[in-house]
Amino acid sequence: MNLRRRFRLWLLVLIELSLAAVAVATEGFWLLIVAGPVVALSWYMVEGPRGKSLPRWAVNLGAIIVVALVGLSAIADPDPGRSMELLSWFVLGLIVLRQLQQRTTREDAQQIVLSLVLVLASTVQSEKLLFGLILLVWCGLALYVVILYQLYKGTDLARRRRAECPPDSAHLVPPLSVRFGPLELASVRRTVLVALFGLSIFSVIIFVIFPRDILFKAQVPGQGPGRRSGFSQNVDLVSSERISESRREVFTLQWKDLDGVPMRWNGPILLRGSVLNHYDPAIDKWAPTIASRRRFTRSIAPSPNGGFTALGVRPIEDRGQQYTVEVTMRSLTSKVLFAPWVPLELATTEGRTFQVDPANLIIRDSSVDTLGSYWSYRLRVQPFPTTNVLEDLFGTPSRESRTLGFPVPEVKVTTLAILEEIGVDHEVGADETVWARNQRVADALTAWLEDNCIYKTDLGDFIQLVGEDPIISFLERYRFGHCEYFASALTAMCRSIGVQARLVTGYIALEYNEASESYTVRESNAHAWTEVRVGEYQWRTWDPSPRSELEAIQVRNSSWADGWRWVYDRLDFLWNSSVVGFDTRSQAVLAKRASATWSERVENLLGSVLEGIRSVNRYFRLGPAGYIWMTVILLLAMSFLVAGFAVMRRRRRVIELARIGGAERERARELAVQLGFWADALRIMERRGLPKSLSETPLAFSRRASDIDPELGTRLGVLADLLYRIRFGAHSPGASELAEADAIVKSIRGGAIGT
Amino acid sequence: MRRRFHLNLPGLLFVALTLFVGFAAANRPNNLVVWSFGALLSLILVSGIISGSMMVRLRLSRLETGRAAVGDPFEIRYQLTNTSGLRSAFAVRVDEILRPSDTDRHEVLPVSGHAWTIRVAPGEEQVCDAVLWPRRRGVLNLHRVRLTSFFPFGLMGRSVELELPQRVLVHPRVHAVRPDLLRTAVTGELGGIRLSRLPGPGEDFYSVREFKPGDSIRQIAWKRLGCTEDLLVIQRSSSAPPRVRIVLDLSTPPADLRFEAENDLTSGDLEERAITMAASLIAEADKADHEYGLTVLGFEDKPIPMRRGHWHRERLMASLAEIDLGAERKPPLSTSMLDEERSACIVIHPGRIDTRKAPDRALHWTATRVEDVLDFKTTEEGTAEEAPSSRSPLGVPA
Repeated sequence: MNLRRRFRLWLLVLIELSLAAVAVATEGFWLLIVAGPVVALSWYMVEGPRGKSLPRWAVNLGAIIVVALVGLSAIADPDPGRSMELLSWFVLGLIVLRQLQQRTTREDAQQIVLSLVLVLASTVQSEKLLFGLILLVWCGLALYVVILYQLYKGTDLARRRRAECPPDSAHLVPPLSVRFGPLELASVRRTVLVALFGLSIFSVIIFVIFPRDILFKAQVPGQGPGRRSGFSQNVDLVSSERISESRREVFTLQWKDLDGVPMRWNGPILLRGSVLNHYDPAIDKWAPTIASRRRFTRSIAPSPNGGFTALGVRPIEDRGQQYTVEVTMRSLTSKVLFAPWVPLELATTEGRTFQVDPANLIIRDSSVDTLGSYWSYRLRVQPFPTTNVLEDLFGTPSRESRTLGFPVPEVKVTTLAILEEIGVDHEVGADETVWARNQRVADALTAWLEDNCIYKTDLGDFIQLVGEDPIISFLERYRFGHCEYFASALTAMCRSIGVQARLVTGYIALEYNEASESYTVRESNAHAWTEVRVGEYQWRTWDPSPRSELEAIQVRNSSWADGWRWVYDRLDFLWNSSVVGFDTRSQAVLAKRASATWSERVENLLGSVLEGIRSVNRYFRLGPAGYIWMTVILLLAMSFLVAGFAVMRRRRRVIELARIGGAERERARELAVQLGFWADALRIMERRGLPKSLSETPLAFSRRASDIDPELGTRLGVLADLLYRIRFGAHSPGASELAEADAIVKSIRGGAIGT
Repeated sequence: MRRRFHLNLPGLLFVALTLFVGFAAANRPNNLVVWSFGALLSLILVSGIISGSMMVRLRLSRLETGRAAVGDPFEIRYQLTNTSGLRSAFAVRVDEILRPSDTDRHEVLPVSGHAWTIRVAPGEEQVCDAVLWPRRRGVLNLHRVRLTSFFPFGLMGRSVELELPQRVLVHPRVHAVRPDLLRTAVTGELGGIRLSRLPGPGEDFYSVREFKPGDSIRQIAWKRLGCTEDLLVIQRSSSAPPRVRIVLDLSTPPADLRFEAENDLTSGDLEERAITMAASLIAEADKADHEYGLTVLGFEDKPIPMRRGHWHRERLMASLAEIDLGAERKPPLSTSMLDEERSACIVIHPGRIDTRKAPDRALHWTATRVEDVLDFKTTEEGTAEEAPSSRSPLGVPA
């Protein structure tokens, strides 16, 4: 395969890879299915035996159509956030069209640039592991293609220049001899590897030291970069993006009794990640209250040896009905620790710092002196805590937990209608407490939701009307939705009639693996439910989402590939925690570690050197003057070392220049001393811009020099003559001859060539 | 030796793109964009390091140049040596750099061709060549050579300029002479076929000599065998080739040159035409195996005696190439030598014919009617060719 064909083939592969990058970044795999074969077909069409191509006018027309389509799309949805997507579309169209036409070297270069722009535009849109892998491969391939392009372009230009001859004189011009065989290819590949190595080193250094907080703020601690976990700290009823059927493993969970024996819990395990008390009807969004965000004040630092650290304000005395939950991360890099109700103690294998919201018992990682995200943690939990345990945990109940009412008045009307329909009184009875009323109402409303609403993840028919709250739409108009709608409706209904309730998001563990005796939690297990207050400290969980539907979805989504997902998920976790989540804090930790390591090493080295000097001084009993003597001896040794090195280097150079490597060892050593003048002369001539070529004899070199400067040539001729006599004539030069040769060398040193 | 970095337009655009991505990286909390910025920046660094280290280890020398002639490709060969023991040198381009005076005044060598090598392996010596097309005859002083490489990524180039002075003679352009013109001119006068003074493969009797082993028995002089006991063989004479002397009359100073002003031709153009005519006649005489000599009137150069063969032709061409039309003109020497010479004589005048400067038997041709002598339809090699334009009297395309 010649150079041009090889370059074009790898350019095609590069473009296909760019298409794959765009497809992964935008999750539009149809792109790859449609544009990929077209680009592949272009190889057969343009480079094939028939060499067909689109005419230039057709390509220009196609480009105009692409511009028009992109422009119309931009007008239809003028969202600045789509600019990169539109740019990708535009570039993609151009690339595909250009692939179908005959190209010059200039247009080949444009294809490479367009491919680069396409990948850069995709980079802005995605941080996925798969995209990252494609990006790395693309970089390596791009280096190879660009290097091939440089060689191809240079050869093409040289050929064209050579062809610029008078008419019908082409037969007089000697052909350009360009060979690009396996040796050249191997050399190019080695160069690509070297360039890739350099690129990796430099790019990682720049990546690490690039200041993250110049224009954008560092990520808010606690939120973390885990945007792909399926879990969100907020519930947005307008957007349903979060709901996915992704089978990505988020973490695994083992439920153990106090003796450490793994067991299966008699029901799904709800793992709390965020407590949402505040509903904003303007944006239809649940969020934690500002007060709860500020409440993350209590810090705990579990010991790195794996011992438990209490989360409560006081030590827990009651040890009844306690279990251990061990969570091992697979792909999640969230700062939030997911815990079942109610967590009592926490243990980690690394020295990390966590912050606890004492009112909601939400825990999050706030380490500033560690790099990356945690790998695993253990929690001691008590699913049915007694009042004493809760008192020890919470201290005093928070004011926020008494929040009542709901900001959408229609919800109360609807709730009252429902309660009337099912015959439940929402007022506190004479012989019941408020907490009992709360339980009664929550039970009734949960039952109503389970009976009258349908669980669906596809919300394509859930058209939200202007001026109507989504919760009202769910309760009165559609009566279908996913867990967030169910939980939002129950929470809203409870709060509208004075029952204290809050929305909780996290994960539900349904999938139990008998072999590993652990639960596997996937992205699709992200869940939302409701907690209703049933005591001074007690909150009880109500999950209005139909359990049977959740389990059916779980079973329906299972496939044979689930068993192998952990390989990808592990890489994904590494990617997210080390690359995507690398932030200012990580930079600080790295800098601290690096400086500590280097300063420690330098201190150790200096210490050992000083100790060695002291011990030598003690051994020889030299006293304080001994240090001076040792310094003098050290300096002398170093001088001898440098001088010896210089002599060895000069001898090696003489042997190389005078080609006496093949002589006997003794003879070579003798010649190396005698022929030093020739090495000096050649070095001077090289500095003066007249180097001797390897294939040139000393005499031919002196003749060439005499063409330029006769006097210089004569001097070199004398030296060359002496060289021949010594090297081949067995002449042993006397001191006077060598001194004369040195004098000639000195005379060569001065003056410019040709003067 | 002068080493320089070059940033070309793609390099500038790449730097601009890198800055843009850097701005995007600072503006957007996306670590992949940050990494992309790092990769782009690293690419510039790696490019500089690779190309710089590659060029440091390259050595260049110009080999002896071959013959240069107007209208013929002029091949300059270079020897590239990679002294590195590890790294190959890729995509190296070698350009000649002429002094501005050389290119402006004479336009001898418009530098467009360059030498190119795709790879020089570690420790390898490689020869590459550049093909150029000289425009005018004359002395060409090659001065500097530049080694350039934009390897590996074409973002920035590294060049090394070396002083490699060399003198090259550019011979005049040779056109085909009209068919039979030279034969007619030569054989009609004293230049016709004659007997040589030496024995050869002819038919006429030359002499007899003693028989030597190896002589053919057919050559034995059988009739003489009766008179003498020695065995003799007959030697035949050989015919000497026709002889022609070409006289280039440049004795008239250009200012005094008389000609009909036509097509913006200057006296200098006409003198160049005359030189081209002389060169073409020499080439034609050489091709026809004639003996030929050259006399240039107007300068102090001695007439070149009659000889034949490749080296003689090269000598005459070099003599024509070295003519400096800017030098002072001398009055022509006596034509007695021309009178005594038994050869045909063709005198070429740049302007009007002046018969006083040559023997009476001489043929006089003028450069103003070059098309009567030279056949512009075919070149020396027999290929088709366009007639010369007014500003390019030698018919060499720009």
